[in-house]
Formats: sequence, C-alpha cells, structure tokens
Amino acid sequence: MHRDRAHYVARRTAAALLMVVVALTLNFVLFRALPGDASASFGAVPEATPQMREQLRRDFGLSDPMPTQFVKYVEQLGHGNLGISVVDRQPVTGRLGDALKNTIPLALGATLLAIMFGLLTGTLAAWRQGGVTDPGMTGVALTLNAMPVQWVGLVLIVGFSSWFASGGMHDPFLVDVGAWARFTDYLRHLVLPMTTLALSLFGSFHVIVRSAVLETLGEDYVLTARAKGLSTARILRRYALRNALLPTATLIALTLGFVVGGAVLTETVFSWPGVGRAVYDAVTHRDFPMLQGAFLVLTLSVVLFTYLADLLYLVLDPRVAAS
Amino acid sequence: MDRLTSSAAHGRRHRRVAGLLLAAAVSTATALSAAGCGGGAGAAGSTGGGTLRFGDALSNIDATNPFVGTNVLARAAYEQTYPELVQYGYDNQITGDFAKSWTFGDDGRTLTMKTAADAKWSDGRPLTSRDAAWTLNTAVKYKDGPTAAFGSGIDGLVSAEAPDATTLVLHYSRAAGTALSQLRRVPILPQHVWAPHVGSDGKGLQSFRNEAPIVSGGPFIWTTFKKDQVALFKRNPNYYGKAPRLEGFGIQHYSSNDALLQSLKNGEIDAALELNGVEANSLKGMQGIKVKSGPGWIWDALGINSNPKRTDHRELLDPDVRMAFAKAIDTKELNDRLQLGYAQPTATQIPVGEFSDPSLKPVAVDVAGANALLDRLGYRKGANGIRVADGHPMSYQLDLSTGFGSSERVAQLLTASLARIGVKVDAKIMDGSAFWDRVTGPDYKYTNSQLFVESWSNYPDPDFSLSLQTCAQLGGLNETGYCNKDYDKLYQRQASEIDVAKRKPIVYRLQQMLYRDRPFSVFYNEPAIEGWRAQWTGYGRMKGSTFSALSKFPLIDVHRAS
Repeated sequence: MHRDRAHYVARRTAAALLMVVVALTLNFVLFRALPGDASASFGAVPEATPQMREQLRRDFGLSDPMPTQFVKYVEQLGHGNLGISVVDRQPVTGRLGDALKNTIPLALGATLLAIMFGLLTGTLAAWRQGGVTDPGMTGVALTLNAMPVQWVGLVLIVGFSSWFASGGMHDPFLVDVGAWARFTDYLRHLVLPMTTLALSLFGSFHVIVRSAVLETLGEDYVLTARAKGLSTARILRRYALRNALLPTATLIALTLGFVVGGAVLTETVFSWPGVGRAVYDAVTHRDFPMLQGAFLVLTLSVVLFTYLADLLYLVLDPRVAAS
Repeated sequence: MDRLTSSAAHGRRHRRVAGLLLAAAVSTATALSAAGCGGGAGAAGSTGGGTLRFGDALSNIDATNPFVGTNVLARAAYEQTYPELVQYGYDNQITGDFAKSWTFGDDGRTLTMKTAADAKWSDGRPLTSRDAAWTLNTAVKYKDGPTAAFGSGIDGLVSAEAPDATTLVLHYSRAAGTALSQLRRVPILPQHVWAPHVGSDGKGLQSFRNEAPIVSGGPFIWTTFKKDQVALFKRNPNYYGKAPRLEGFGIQHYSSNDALLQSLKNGEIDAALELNGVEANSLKGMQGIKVKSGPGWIWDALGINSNPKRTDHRELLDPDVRMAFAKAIDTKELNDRLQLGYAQPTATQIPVGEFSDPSLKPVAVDVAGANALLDRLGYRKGANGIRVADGHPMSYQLDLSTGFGSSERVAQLLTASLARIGVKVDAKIMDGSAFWDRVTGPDYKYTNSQLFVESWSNYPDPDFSLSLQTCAQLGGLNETGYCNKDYDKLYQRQASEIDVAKRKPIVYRLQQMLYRDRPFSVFYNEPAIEGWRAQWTGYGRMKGSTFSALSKFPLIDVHRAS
C-alpha cells in the first residue's frame, strides 16, 4: 500500500515536471510564431525612429537566430531571471509579482464564492430532482455559464456602480485616510469583479456537483441509509457530498490554476491590474519576456494545482494509488 | 440528549449563526457603500484650484523614463513634469518654455537661446542651461542606442554648450529651420539625477527606473506612479513659468470605455479623455456633465502601398487610380457614421492652419467621375462587376488594426464604397503589431500590403507629417513605401528654411505632391472629445487634449469653478 502510494506520488511528480518543460518550450515558440515583434508594436509612434527600432531588436536579441534566442531564454530561466520587459525596460519578475498579488485575492475570492454556491445549489438540485427546484437552479446556472463574462461585468457596472466602483483596484485619490478606509475602499472595488468572475465559474460547479451527487444518491448504500432512518442532512453530508468531492476537487484545482493565471476579460472590463491584463498588454506589444513570464506563471499554477488535486485524491480515495 | 433534541438544538444554532452572518453582511455592505459615497478625500474637499481627476481608456503611461516611454499619455506626463526649451502656445505657434528668447546665426546652423533665470528643480537644486546642454549632448551621443527615442527632437544637432547659466548655444550640421518644432519634443532632464546612471555605454539611461516622486522642473511634480493604474501629480512651487491653478491632478487608467464613462457619471473622476462621438452623445444632456469637442491632432486615411518596385498590382501606383479611389469614398459619410459628425474635413495630412495649402480641397465624392476615370484607363468591369487591370482583377486586401477603433465599420464602409467603382476589397483586421508587420513587410520591403487604414498624429508644424513620406523614413515611420527623390529634396529645403514666409511655399508644394501622388488618401482630422464634470472650468483654450504632449498651457488655467 505504501509502495503504491510512493509510486503514485512519483508518477504524478514526474508528469508535472514534464508538463512544465513542454509548456516552457511551447511558450517560447508559439509567441514567436505571431506576426510582428516588439519593434513592430511601436507602429505609428512618432518617437519610433529606425534607430530606436534597431536598438530594440539588438537589445532584446530579436535579430538572433531562434535557437540562439532559446538558449539565452533557458539560461536566464535557470538563473531565475524572467528578463526585462520591452515596454518599460524593467524586470518582468517585479511586474508579474505585483500583478499576481492583485490577481490572487480576486481569483481566490471568486472561486470560493463559486464553490460555495455551486456546492449548495448543486446538492439541492440533485436532492430535489424531479421538482421545480432542480430545473430552476440548473437553468440559472447554465444561463450564467453561457453569458459572456465581459457582458455580465458591464451589466453589473451599469447596475451597481453607484454603490461599488466601476474600475481599478482602489481610489487613487484617497489620500490621508486610515487603514480601515483604505480596506473598505479596496473591498468596494473588489466586489463587482469578484462577483462577475464568480458568476462565470458558478455554473460549472453547480453542474459537476449536481451530477456527482445524483450518481451517489442512486447507490444502494444510500438507499440503505434512508431505510435506516438517517436524516436528509446526514445522508447528504456523509455519503453524497463526500463522493461528489472527487470530481469537484479536480474542477477546483483546474479552476484555480487557470484563474490565477489571469481572468483576462474580467480584469480588462474592471481595469483590474492583474496577470490577465498584463498578458493582454504583453500580447499587443509583443513583449516576449513578459509573455513568457506570464505564461510561466499560468503553467506553474495549473500544474501545481493539478498536482495538489492528484495528491488530494490520494487522501480522499486511497484506491487511486493501486489503480 | 436524544437525536431529535440534538437536531433541534443544532438547527437553532445554525439559525443563530446564519442570522449573525446576515447581519455582518448587511453591515459590511452598508460600510462599503458609505465609503464610496464621499469620493476621494483628497479630491472633494480642496479649496482654490482643486485636485483634478482624469480618466483615460485609450492609452496609458508606459514608463516614467523619457528614454523608454513612447505612449501619448507618457509624453503628456513628461510635458508637465519636465521643462522643454519651447512649446506650442494658445495660437499653435512655437513659444518659449524654459527658453525665453532665441536667435539663429546667419547661416541658420547656430541657435542661441536665453533660458529662465534663477530656476530650480523641485528638489531645490538649480535648473540652468547646463541641464539643457547635458540632456542634448547625451541624446546626441547615444542617438543610435539608448537615447534613440529622442532622435526626432535632435535631427541635425551636433552639440550644445552652456557658456553661462542662462545661455544655451546649439550647433547644427545644416540650417535648422525646423529645430524649434523638434526641440519641443525633448524634455530637459536634471543632470544631477541622470548623469550617474549613464554608464560606459549609455544603457543605464534606459534601465534607470526614475521612480516617483520624480525630480521635476515643470509645473507639476510627478509624485506617484503605478503602472496601468494611476499617475499622481502635485503643483511644483519651484516652477519658473506661470503657476497652474490646480493644486494637483491625477490620471487613472481604465481598460474599458464603459467603466470610464460610468466613473465620470458617478463622480469617481472629473474628466474623461479621448472619447469618441458615440460616447460624447451619451454624455450630452446629462446633468452635471459637459462635453468638450473640437478638432484634434490625428488624421485618418486610406493608405495605398506605394513601393515603386512592387511586382503585383502595379495599377495601384497610378495616381489616377488613387484619385478614383478617393472619389469613390464619401468622407462625409465616414465622418457621420464613424465620428458622428465630430471630425474636421481636411485635404491633406497637414492640419488646417498656417501651413495648410488653401488651394487644396478635400476630394468630393464622385462615383460617376471615379468610374469614368477607371474606364478611361481601360480597366473594364468583368462579368462579375470587378474591374480587370493588366489581366488581373482589381481585388485587394484591406488591412486594418484593432487599435484603429470601429475597424469593422470602417472596413464595411470602404468595401461598399470601392465596390461602387468595381473594386473588390477583402478586409482583414489584426492587432497593431501584426498590422505594422503586414503593412511594411516583409522586413520593411513593402511588398506584402496593398491597401490599409491608418491614423497618425500631426502637429502644428508640418515637418513631422511631411517626414513620414520621405525615403529617409523607409524602414522607420514610412508605411507606404513612398519614395520620391524630388520630394525628399524639397523636404530638406523646407527643413533648412528659417524664414517662415519662404518656407510656406515649399511646404505647399510638398502638400501638392502628396495630394497628387496620394500615398495616403486622408478622410478627416479626428476630433478631440472630453467629458467634464460641470464644476470644472478653464479648459478648452487650445486645440486638442487638455492633457497634452504639445504644451503645458492647456492644463495651466484649469481650476474648480467657485
């Protein structure tokens, strides 16, 4: 049993590392397949003299052969150096670090809200299958899932921006105030983007939980539990939800991995200075170092959370090690 | 305790907890709303000029370092932070900034300027002509490298010297007729701050963070900068020029126009910059909001690949074909549909003003005339209605950039316009980098593109707009591949002519050449539209944006109305 577990962990670790290596290579190649480079991104800019473009290409090695650029990229990565941003000539690490700090509360908060409500409504819908509750709740969840997230964001801005902020992370003109005022101002700015993102994620959680709970409720041991007179709450808590947690854990891990990498549309609508917006700006400027760094963050977060989900599986269902 | 009692107690406990949670949620929501209602503490309660809050969704400040930042908002921020030798005045003529007067030498190759006396940087250190000399000499020394971004401001400059604290002497390689309009684009930097970062090859000039609060010499001190979020400025008490009435201002970046407009309506900001016609109309009539609109400094045009060495679609090089295209396009319709009538009609890239040739008029729409022109050239329509030129259909790809704004609608209108004269157009919209690569590519050989839509900044002085079509700008800012040696010779003549009265006819001839050859067929000048909350006044005295890269004046008079 212990040997099975050790093998399981070793296999998952090797797979995670391989994913990172493949993703890093693809990160490098795919962006350079786009037409145009950083010098082209300056387009119709009066200061973009031929000398400036040439200097940019020289400084960032854009004229070097692709293999040479790749070797330099890997060497820098090996030293923990993500390079210098083409746009402001500052280290990518600093900018990405700031962007990540801004994205994490948004992503975590939205995912937690989506999980909470998804678990609640998914379980309720499964328990009340056949009545009005199930189709009603599932209809709402699917509708929200189908709505473009940027449209949901704009609707919330139009409807609620009198109470909550329309954009940005805080009121930059709020000066000489205490910590509590700053904190509530931050929350004011967080509410709408977090709600937007949570609404876009909620549908998936509802459907997965509902499906998993429905499957469990059809099992013989649940019928036995009912026959023994156990309460609804106890059956749901001790039998249905526990088994529904397996697919839900996978969804949570994948969601967190991708959302931390940047909820581009949400961050753009709300001008939230996170990783998603940084990625969008980097793409339009062909800021390769920034793009590579941002996608490294995305890759690592997806791989990390998937890896953690695999390990969590082992705890939730030790049988996976043997299989 | 039996199961039932336990469950009941459990249920009661749950209800109590739920009640407490609900109460907490209501309290928090109330607190959040209350926090939002008062507006920025630093903004609402000020007396005097007030603290102005701008918002912009179209562009952002890319860097605090003038050797790195190229976005229009970054240049506007440098304008307010740093002295420049000259700037544009209310009448769009060059006037003094840090330089108070100047004279050209007899051969036009020397420019002697007298700068403001007893000036100081915001840190109290003296601001003198030596700072100007250092900035310009450093820019010249590394102009093919780290200071390349200053290149358009020091064209032809050989050296600068400061014989005393208020005298600056500039030496040029040729008569420098356009020196003043070019020097306007060079921010003067504090030598004591920047010199230690030059290093052996100047690269330190670009990697220097220049973190806020920045040592400033302009009317405002740049105090805070958070990239893609906000930049804050406060009045500089040491400014050598006319003191601004504002106590300070800030500019907040939005990545969504809808969020920007909502913020203006809610009073989270005081003014929204770079709006379009649709947004302007949505604000008109709203209580507490005024719309400022007028001609701007951007022209939009149909670009036609003008590479004389192109091997396909050589009919595009024919000025008559280009004129036919121009006649087929209803620029009034474009203005009405895209700019809601706010744009200013114009004949060429040169803005309406002192240097625009009055004999040139915008091409009037004349579909019959356009068809007749192409018929005379022998380009008959095929069975499918598409004309045939030299054995191939007159069918072209029209490239547009997503950064252009309303690119889908422009594509539809132009496709329909050219279809009326038997020309088929297949529009492709792409992001800015891919667009530039396509239009100039491959590798600035100018063989890929055929037709494209572009917009460019222009300035009161025509030198920059005229330079875009020179052979010297191939591989640089020349997008069409146009290269005409006669044009280049005339361009150099106007650049060397100090006497405005003698320069004007040369500029007129250059415009006539561009009008005839049409590498760009100009639609109009885009409007400069801003939304303002009604308690502000003093803006709108100059053409263009209030937060301008051309001059410090537009912001100087802005203040909160009593």
